[in-house]
Amino acid sequence: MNHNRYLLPHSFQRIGWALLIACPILLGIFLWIFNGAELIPQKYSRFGTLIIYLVAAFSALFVGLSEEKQEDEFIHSLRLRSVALTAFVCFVLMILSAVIVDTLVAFRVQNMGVFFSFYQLFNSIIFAFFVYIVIFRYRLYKYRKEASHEE
Amino acid sequence: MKNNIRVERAILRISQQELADAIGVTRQTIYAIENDKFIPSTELALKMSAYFGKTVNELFSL
Repeated sequence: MNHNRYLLPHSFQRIGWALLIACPILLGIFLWIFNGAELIPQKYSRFGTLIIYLVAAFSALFVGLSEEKQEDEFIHSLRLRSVALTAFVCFVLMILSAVIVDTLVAFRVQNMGVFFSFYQLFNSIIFAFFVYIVIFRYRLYKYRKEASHEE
Repeated sequence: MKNNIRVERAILRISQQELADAIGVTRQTIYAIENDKFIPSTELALKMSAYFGKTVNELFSL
């Protein structure tokens, strides 16, 4: 049965992991270029942010939506269950962050930047992708570990 | 749904990996089926029944 109609080939997963590792390295480089060494004027820092955003987005897409070496119906069902759990987790975080931000706005709390950042993060599709990757990978790891103990 | 895949496997003296390779799935799929954590599709159930030479009803029961 063909379960991988909407999945990228397995080779994309390696590219995705490489991009994921590159993300914090790029962040460090850009922080150094724009803030530390100030090699490039600060006004161009948005291009650095855009590059990191794109790298994170493609890494999430490639890792999350590429098939395993041997993709079968059990892994397919794990994916579906992980998507369902991801939807619940993201929904709860989204509602909580909205309630917290609205409450803080109502009480006129100062320095709300960090709360707005979390609010934006929890509403982002890339964040949902990363939650899905963590849930799916953990479940897959758990089953592989359990199966390795059986004869 | 219950199944006796583990028993049939023991009769043939084959490992989970050997069964998985024979029917084209991963080892964790066989583990999940044997431990009632996953109900296989009709296609996979038929492949198993053909492999063991038993009917699907003999392998799986409600």
